[in-house]
Amino acid sequence: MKDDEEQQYIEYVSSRLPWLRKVAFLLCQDWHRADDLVQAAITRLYLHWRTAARAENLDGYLRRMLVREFLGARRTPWASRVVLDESPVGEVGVHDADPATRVAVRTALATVPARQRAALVLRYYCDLSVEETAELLGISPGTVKSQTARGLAALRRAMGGEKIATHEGR
Amino acid sequence: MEHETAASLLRDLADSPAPPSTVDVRRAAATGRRRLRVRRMVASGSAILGVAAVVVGLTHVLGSTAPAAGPSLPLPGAEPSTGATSEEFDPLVQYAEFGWVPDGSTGTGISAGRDWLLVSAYYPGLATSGDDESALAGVYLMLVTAGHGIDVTQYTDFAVDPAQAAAGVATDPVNGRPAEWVDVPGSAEVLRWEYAPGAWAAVRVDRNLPGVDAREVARQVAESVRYGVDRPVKLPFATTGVPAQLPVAEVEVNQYADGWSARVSYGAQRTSYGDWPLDILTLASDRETGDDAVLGDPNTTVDGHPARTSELQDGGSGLQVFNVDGVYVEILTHSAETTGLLPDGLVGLFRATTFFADPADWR
Repeated sequence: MKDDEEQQYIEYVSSRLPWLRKVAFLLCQDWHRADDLVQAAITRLYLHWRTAARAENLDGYLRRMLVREFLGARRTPWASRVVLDESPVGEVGVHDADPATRVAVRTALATVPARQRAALVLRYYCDLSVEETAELLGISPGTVKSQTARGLAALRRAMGGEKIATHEGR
Repeated sequence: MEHETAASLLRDLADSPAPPSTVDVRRAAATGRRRLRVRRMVASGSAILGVAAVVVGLTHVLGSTAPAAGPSLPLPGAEPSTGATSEEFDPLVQYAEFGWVPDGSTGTGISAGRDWLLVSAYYPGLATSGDDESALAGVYLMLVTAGHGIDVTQYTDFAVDPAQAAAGVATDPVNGRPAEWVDVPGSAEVLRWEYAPGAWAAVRVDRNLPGVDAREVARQVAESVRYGVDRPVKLPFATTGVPAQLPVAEVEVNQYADGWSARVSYGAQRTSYGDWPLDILTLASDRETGDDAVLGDPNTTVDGHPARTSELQDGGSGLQVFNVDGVYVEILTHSAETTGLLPDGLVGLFRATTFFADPADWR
């Protein structure tokens, strides 16, 4: 990679790190694991930078790498273990408006299978359509709908039954 | 509005206060440069031996897809056992096994719940995006109890209401039983068949399995499944410390060339958060410290072993014990009530359990 390309890469990735960490955190519920995922995804992005830089949607390209890194990492001997090294939500900082809700949502996310969680994050945090989510995860739109419905049911349980839609209208 | 409620919850969680980032963009660039250099070396022919080895390996796998080249294993003839078609599985029993899989497997796995069973063979997979040296591919046999459908996109807990299972496209029968291809866009070929009246099985073959036609492999695997095996699942530990109120709910055992992992979950029903009340997880590992990623450092000792105790957000407790003669142990309860069922707590359960690092000793 030429120097100017590398500089372009560094500037782009640096500008996207806060967003990437948040998506990764929603996927794995652990900031250290999230940082590992992001590190792996941006390393992969470097390898494909010349292609990626020409992509119509570079953010989407990088998001795809992150999600695939997450799903791929799940299928390892460590995948099924529960993360114990997580800091309590709200441990850092003082402006934690509703820690109880966050704990509930975080716990709910941790209990759903990886693909369901990824579908939830892509649909509701990244605001992708059902079809876009299906394409990224390599599953059918119908499966996205059923997986998000189950994920939302878990969220609903965690929120004590608060009504969250399970239908897919997008 | 309700869509927005879910989005708002996730946004709020994503905005949680975070520790300082450990992501290093310049380190990513440096690692990337090193990998690109290696690729160029290989492409320029300076690693010809390595390339030749890869080609030989692929040929070997290709050859193994032909029936004559496969291992000499008996074809199924036995009807499925009563247990395999019942309304509930015993997670500690393997009711079926592969009669044939492609050569070159580097790992195996068995996972089971009360209404599903997954038998896995793992392979080094082709990178799906060109640079994933650690890509895994798999061949999976999925069985569910009578009356259930299979959600072929899942690796656990895939027994679903038949109405929830994705529709398939009818194809040639599997050993005379109705069969269909189920579409899993992009990632795998899935052949699903009714292995006994009202009871379904599926074989899933990842498309990044090198050098094979995934559909051909799926059919050959499906047609050679052996039923009625009814073999106890061997575990790397034996315990007398789990109360009778906590029956075995799920089992997962994986063995790889360089190690193994096993999890057993216990409980009559899941907690309100969806976990089984008690988990015992074990890994082949002589690690005695955390890994700066998912494992925290020890904060105490148990019987001379480095250990860590934790309180979980769901009200349960965790005990990690490092290097129990080559085994990493993790015991988790997922509610205070479950912890209360253990007369001597998590440490008592640990002490009532014997661990076996060598798979030859498993029972």
